[in-house]
Amino acid sequence: MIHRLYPGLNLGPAHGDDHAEAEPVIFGFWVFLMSDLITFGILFATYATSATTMGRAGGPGPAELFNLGSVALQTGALLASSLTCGLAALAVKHRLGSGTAVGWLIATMLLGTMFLGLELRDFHQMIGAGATPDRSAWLSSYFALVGLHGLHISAGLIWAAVMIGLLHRQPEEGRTKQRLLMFGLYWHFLDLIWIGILSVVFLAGLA
Amino acid sequence: MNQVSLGLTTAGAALMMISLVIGEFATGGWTNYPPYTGAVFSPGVGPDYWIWSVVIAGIGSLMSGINFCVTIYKCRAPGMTLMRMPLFVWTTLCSAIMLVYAMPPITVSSLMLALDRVLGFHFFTNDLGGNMMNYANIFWMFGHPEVYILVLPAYGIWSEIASTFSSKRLYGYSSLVLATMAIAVIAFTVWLHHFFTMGQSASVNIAFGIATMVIAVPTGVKVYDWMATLWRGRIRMTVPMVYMTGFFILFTVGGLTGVILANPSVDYQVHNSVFLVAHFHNVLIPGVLYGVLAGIHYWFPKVFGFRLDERTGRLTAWLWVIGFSLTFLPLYVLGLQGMPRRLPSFTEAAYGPWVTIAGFGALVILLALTMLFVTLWVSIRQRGQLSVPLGDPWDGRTLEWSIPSPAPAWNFATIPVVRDRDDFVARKGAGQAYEAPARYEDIEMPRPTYLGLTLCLAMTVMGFAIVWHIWWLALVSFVIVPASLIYRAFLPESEVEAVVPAAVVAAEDRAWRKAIAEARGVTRDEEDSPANCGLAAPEGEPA
Ligand code: HEM
Ligand SMILES: [Cu+2]
Repeated sequence: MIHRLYPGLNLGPAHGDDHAEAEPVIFGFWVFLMSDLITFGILFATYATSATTMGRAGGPGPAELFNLGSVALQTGALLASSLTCGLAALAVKHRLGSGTAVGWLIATMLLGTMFLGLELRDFHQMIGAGATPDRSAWLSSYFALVGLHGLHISAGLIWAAVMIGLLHRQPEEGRTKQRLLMFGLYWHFLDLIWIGILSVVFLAGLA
Repeated sequence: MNQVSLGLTTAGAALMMISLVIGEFATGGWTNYPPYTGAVFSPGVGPDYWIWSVVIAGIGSLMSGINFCVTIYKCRAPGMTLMRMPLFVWTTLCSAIMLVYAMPPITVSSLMLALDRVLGFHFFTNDLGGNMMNYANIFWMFGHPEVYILVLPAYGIWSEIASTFSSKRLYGYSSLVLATMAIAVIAFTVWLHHFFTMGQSASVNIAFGIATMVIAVPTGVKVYDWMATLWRGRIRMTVPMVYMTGFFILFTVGGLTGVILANPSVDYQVHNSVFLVAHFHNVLIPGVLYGVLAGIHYWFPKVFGFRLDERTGRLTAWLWVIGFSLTFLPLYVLGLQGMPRRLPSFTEAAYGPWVTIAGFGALVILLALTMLFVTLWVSIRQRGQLSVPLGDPWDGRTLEWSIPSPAPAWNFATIPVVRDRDDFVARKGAGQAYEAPARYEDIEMPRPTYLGLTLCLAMTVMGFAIVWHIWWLALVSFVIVPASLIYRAFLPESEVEAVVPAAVVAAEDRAWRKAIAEARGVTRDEEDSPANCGLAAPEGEPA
């Protein structure tokens, strides 16, 4: 038999079974994330091709629209939420009780909501300034790329809520831990994408 | 997950069917190129139906891809090393990997087009900075890999058939595996050959032209390997082998015309002429369709427990070969004469005779299609005589033939330990093909679920609602998707999985082994006779 242990969360004290079961599921989730990465990759490429004078079509550009202060806050909130998400997983790993894990997940949700709220406020201000997605190709691709990341975050918030419910109902089941592990991967992945957006869209846009 | 993927694919297909009755389907050609399909030039619902069928079915395909990758990487039987896997599994794996990487582009480009159409975005419009070349690039980043996603599984089927029906080990197994992987990689580097004529510089065209020609090399390796497998084999001209004969000759022609098209300066002449139409039908019909039909004939008894009638089947196969050749080979000539594709009528006299031949060929294809259903009908009527419950009608080589037909829900009563590439042949040779296991164990199986059906219906309704801008309905049906997934997450484990007790498995398995002990094996000459009930007489390999 090949080694089937999955590093990270220990999924059950005595049953190696849980590990064997988790292996294909977690691997499948990684494959999904890689495919999602292609999705973002294409939007990044589209953004890059439209971040030109032609792509802005005489409309407003980064210098008039971006609010780096808000972006910095968003980045901070999202990175902190990754930390709390990791702490939730550690709480399960070290059996600190499902209450602790739920607490960290709630913190994750709050930080995620803060991120989303700030992002929506920026969108609102841009639209108020006439920078709507139908103004130019550049704005179309900006809203598509950043918006898709925002949608992923929203889906993640729903998922976190479901995880809280599951931790409450069936905290000891291997399936619950497996799902927590996947949620963690997903959430950290979104962090990574955000770093890409921060560098390519905001920092490069104002450079 | 399998069920959900199928459900989503079905939803995409259902949407397409609905469009035939309510509204109109893809009015922008099969590639749905903007700006023509943008809201300005195509205000109708045709492009919308196209977009949502493709997106929904595409998510299904993506999930299938993930599913196959994971199953093949992580869930193999003990002893089934990668280099012992049947070639069909290899080609499926490579196709699945390609699906994972090729589906996101088409989903994204379609959704971007939808944003252009519905919300006035400017990705691909003519004005305000839009760039339609982005669409062409993203679409074909999916489009070209897709043709190999289609044909690779067929290559796998050909490999299994070649070795089974010549009773020989597959020739050049490692080179076939390598060629498959090479194709899967190179297929991602050639997409630009679909628009050589859209204005990029000659050096860009050359690079992609050469990459395209390179793909023909691994494909050629495969054809030689299959021929060498047949060489001096114990060949039976069964239905799959008739298809394979057609495939060998016709597909090679199709591949060669592909190489011709890969030369940008030639492509400038024949692009969007019926020469191109002949090319892709030439690879799709003899390559993919014949492969699928041959595969159906080959595995049908495993799935349904009886063989398909050989006589009508062979007739059908010949009709397909003849029908295809008459219909599509003349298009090469017509293409060189300059006949453009998608031509509703013409006045050029030189086209006349060739078009007539092609039209006649189309009738032969219609006949072939009819005969396909006749074959099915005849076989179902005679299923008693054709039944092969013991499971091994073709003196099979791989382990799926070592279990009863139709296969039980749990497939293998006990998980086999694999020792050889043609493991079943090795077992038959050693006289150990049907050794009863020492003990049986409980088998855990997923319970039946309505999840796939629910998501299928929800997505069909959602697609329809978006096409017709019925926003509340789209929202409601969309919400059903996460809702049913969350509902399922909260179900206790016992409602998701069921256990088949060892005693049930053992009883069924022992009854089958008893029938085998009492049956007479058939020789390869008798495979086509009613005596064939799925047990092969030991004959060994040809020298
Ligand atoms: C040796 C292998 C092949 C080569 C070198 C090749 C080359 C080409 C080239 C250069 C074109 C573009 C022609 C044009 O637009 O003017 C093309 C189009 C196409 N080929 Fe191939 N091809 C090969 C195999 C295949 C296979 C195996 C399939 C399918 C299973 C396939 C399906 C298609 C399709 C669907 C199109 C485009 C149809 C359209 O534009 O609507 N090809 N091929
Ligand atoms: Cu191509």
